[in-house]
Amino acid sequence: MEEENFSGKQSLEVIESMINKAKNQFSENGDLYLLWGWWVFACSIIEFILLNLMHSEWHWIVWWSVILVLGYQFFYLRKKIGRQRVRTYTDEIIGFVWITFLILMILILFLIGRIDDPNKFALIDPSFLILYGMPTFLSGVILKFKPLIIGGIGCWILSVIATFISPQYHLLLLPVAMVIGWIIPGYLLRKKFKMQKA
Amino acid sequence: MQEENFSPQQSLAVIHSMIETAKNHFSENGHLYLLWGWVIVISGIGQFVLLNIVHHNNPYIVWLLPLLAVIYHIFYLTKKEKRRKVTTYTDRIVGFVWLSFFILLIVVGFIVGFELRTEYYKLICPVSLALYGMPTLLSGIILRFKPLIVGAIGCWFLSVGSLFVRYDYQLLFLSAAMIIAWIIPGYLLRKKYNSQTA
Repeated sequence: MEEENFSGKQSLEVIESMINKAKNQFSENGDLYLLWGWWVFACSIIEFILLNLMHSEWHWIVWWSVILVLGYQFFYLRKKIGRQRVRTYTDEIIGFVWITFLILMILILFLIGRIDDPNKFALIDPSFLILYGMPTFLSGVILKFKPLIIGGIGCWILSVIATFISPQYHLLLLPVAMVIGWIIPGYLLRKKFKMQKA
Repeated sequence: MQEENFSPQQSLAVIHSMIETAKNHFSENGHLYLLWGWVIVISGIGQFVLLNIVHHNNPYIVWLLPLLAVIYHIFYLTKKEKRRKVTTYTDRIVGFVWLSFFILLIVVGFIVGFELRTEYYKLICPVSLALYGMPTLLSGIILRFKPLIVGAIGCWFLSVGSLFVRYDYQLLFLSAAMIIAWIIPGYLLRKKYNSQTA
């Protein structure tokens, strides 16, 4: 910024451009969307195969690989935060949106686990689909990034669809949700991030 | 703002003050928190009283009250929208947070009712409490208003706690959540808003 005469209007333009810069220069490169998107995608398909084709009692064990993904994310974020010079207001809000999502996932899973309904397992995947939609939609709104908004709405629609199909096939809706909610937007975020750097 | 010479420092100060103004001068007067907080407290306690003390045939009748509140809510927002001069970025995000909450509440209610056979009613209050925490926490973070953050965490504790009590007592948990999450913060928001406009 040069030292020059600033009218009220010019000042507002500077403010607007700074806000736009802060908004577009989001440190969001899509990496974590892709990491989690592909992980859920793979696990749900593997679980579906173990459950329906191999009739394994241990079908759910595949989800324990979450420990590896969490470990990776921990180191990834530590490195990223170390490099990051500014944490914008937007970054902070998005961070809390994802923390809320995590709390709701744990809480809802716990609540479903505690009741005695014979059909409670049919509730797990549709609940996850609804919850996936929340941070996806809100991140889209906060970053003003349409693919995430569409992906979030897609997750909600899939959760309603889930109630009309047999619980056996619920697991196949998760990979669909991941593709529209996290994987496609993840690649588009990566593309946008690279273009901005170039 | 007057037309004058602006150094970069001064420009930054203007930006800073505008952000501060936008942040503090939130059009949040707490009105809707109070409306919904009180409506749900009255409905929750009302149903409890009709169920356990009056032994009314149809204790659910009290939930017509929120329907009336919806009508009032729409009128209120239409009137407020007309008066509003600017919609800040914060207003917009908070609006979308509440919209997601509303969608989550409807879709979760739908799938819980649809998927469960015998115990759906046991899950309604705990799940609603879990969801109440979401917009409350995020609004608290976005508006940087601690009472809402505390209220949200309270909702999550009450959600877990409500699973350990009989269904009719869960209604009292619902009312307690409203007091800590929406009513107390609602009055504090009103106080802050009034002192700002004074």
